[in-house]
Amino acid sequence: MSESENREPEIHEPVAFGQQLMLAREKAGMSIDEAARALNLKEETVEAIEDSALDKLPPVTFVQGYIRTYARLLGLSEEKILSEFEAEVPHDLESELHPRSPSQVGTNSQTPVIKLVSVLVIVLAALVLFYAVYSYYVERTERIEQSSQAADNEAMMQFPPEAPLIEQQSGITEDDAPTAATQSAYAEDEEIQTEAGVSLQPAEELQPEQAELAEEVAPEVESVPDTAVSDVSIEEIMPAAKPQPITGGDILAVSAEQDSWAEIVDANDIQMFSGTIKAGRELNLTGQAPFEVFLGNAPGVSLSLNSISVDMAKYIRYNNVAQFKISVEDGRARFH
Amino acid sequence: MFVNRFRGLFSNDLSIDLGTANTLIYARGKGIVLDEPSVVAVRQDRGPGGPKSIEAYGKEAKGMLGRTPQNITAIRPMRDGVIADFNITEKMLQHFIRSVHESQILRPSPRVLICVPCGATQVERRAIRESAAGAGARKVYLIEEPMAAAIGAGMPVDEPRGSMVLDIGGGTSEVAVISLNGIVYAASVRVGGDRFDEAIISYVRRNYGILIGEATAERIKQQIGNAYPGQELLEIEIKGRNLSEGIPRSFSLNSNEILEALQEPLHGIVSAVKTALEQTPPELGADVAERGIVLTGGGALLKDLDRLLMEETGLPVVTAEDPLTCVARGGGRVLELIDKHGGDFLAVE
Repeated sequence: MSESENREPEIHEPVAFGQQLMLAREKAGMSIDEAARALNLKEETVEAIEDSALDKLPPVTFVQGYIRTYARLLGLSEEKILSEFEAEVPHDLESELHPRSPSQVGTNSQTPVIKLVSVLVIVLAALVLFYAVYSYYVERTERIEQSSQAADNEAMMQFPPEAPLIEQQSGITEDDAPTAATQSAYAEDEEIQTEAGVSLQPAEELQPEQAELAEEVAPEVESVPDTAVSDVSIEEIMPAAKPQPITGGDILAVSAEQDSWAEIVDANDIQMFSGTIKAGRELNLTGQAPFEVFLGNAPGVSLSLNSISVDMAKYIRYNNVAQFKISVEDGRARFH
Repeated sequence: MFVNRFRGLFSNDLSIDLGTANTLIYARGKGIVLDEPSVVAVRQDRGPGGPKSIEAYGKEAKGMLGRTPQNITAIRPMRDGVIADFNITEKMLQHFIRSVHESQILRPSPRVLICVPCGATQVERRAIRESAAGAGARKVYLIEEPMAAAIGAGMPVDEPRGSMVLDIGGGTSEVAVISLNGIVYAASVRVGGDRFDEAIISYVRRNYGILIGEATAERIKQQIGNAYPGQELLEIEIKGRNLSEGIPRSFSLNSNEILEALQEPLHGIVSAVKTALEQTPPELGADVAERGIVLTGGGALLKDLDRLLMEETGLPVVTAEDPLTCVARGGGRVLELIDKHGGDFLAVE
């Protein structure tokens, strides 16, 4: 029920709606009894309306209707009286309803608070997910960048500034033995061309101390086998040439005489190449040995690893496909 | 299921008064958000059997009623309070539900409460339920129209005390006696605003030999229609086609003529109320006699209808505040109460 307010009919401006009705009724020369009969109401109800005694009356819905018909009967403005009634007796037309039996309250997903909280939780979850995916992605790209740069960077970083600068030209074809032009940064500044087979000795690691050691020892070494170049320069070149097959910096050269499909994966599971190599093309791939090599037309392709040519004849199957894993050990290609 | 619940977070609970004449939608916390005629204009190109498309909904479509070219038909998909054209009703509901949601990205999936006439059969109820589900509702509740009307009018339906409500809609009139949150007696007669219009049309044709359309008849009813002889005589100037000459003619009608024209449908309503009073258990009948009958629905706006019922029954008759929206508002209140007290409350299906 609405708030029932029992206000005494005071004489003030403007006159209360009940009083207005009473005055109009008296003016029309109508008794309460006559009015009640015309309205099909009980006398007490009409009296209660005139007294504005809401607690003696049924719910507001009915009272409004009674007032409307009463006003019409007396020739008063319905709207005016009703607006006065509303102003005088604040009420809510919605009745408060209750279940007759104890109820089980169902889940309620529609109250504004729960709605807001649910939306917030969903947004938060979406943000967390987004952040997780983003950080994973960033980490992954960093890792790939690191490993691909390793070849370039590590060689430089492992040598002190006074170490010889190595410049390798790797536009090498498989037939002519790869020539590594190395420049010595110190000693006599001699530029010496050596055969790759000799100079590109595979070494697991080369420490700067070793380079220095080699330098110190160099003058004393007398016997250098079958090379036309001077002893000193050979000894100087050896440390200079050795850095190439550094861990993480293995170079796999693939040259195709015929079109061939190839897939090459290095030891870090990084796919270095996948696709078709056109006839006459060459690829120089830098990665970490051992490499996993998968060739579609193996007889039409020749490989060399760190300038050591690889003979893969026995791995070529009847359908010209070859799949193997290679690395270089002690100057020879080793199949796994 | 989860997607529906998620979409539900962005949808409002809706109470829909799917009426023959007008569809009203009450959104929880927002009030009445839509009040449109239940009319759909369908365009069918390339002759019968061609592809159909919806030309207009609501007010726009109502303006087309009786004024359409061959390829457009203005349809009222509801007849007598129930679905006459299932697909069109579904499309119309879908359009209305969408238009009361601002978000265009997410398809709304609200919980919907729809009012059905208490005379509706199981088949008709199922049709309404399924058309609402097809229109995107996540959950559909049905409630009988007089119950929603009584709650919307602010009647104390939970008291152990009889309350009688008479809801006069476009297609049907429902009279019910309610006590303790339940319907004790309910009856539905297929007399409503539409029947008033038809009665006016046939009266004018019979007495003037002039044919008028539904829209004109409705305008006459709203402007000078009355249910009880009053002191003042109102007149209206209207135009219609003279049947013998075939030429549009202008003529005037007065309120007494309309009163005469409406006698038959009004008698139908009055006798329904009298039957209800006869059938009501005596204790509840006494309660009704003390407090009176509450009128709701668009028909309650017919001038002096309460007066007619007062004279005919000898009981107090009151017209609810804002009778047109009572059912929709009552439905909205029921949705709140369902959340508060559970679904079995108030005879909701």
